[in-house]
Amino acid sequence: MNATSTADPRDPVVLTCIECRREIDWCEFCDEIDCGVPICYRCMNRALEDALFEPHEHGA
Amino acid sequence: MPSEGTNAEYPRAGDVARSDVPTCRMDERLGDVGERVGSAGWDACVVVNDESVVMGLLRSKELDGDPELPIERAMRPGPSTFRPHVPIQEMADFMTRHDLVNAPITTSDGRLVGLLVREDAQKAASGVERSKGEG
Repeated sequence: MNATSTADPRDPVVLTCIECRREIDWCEFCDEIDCGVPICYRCMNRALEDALFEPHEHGA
Repeated sequence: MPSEGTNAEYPRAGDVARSDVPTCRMDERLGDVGERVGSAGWDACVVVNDESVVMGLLRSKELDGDPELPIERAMRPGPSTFRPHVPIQEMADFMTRHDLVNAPITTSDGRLVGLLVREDAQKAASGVERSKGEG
């Protein structure tokens, strides 16, 4: 049996951010439209920046 | 940038990025650039302007294009860039999950710091994990 697709290849691809579920046109990290773990600009920056602010040893 | 806190001694993206990555200009020809990049042992090239601001990126797929193409038409324009202060573990983790072979590291005004190669990032991140395990 041959598989058929009704999807129009000209249709714009819509991805969903894996963090906030917002619709995005491409993954902000890898710039790909077929990324398996797409992430939006805001969530990507939050993920990368949060890693900077782990608690200091003096607790400040 | 001064670093402090529990992670201050660990490498960041800017420490691991290769500053010797080949660069080219938008008005060059892909064939000429590809030859230069290949003979330097690289499979990527960062397209910059006169101020070293990143304009585009050529990975192996783009470098394999029509040699007659001007870089402006061959490059991936406006690639995502990352700041030098991002912890290397985060970058390695993201690059692995997104299957990204390299990523340009730039200052906040877009000037090239270097190209972070995934294998380098993973190696450095493993070193951090080992250090944390010992501490």
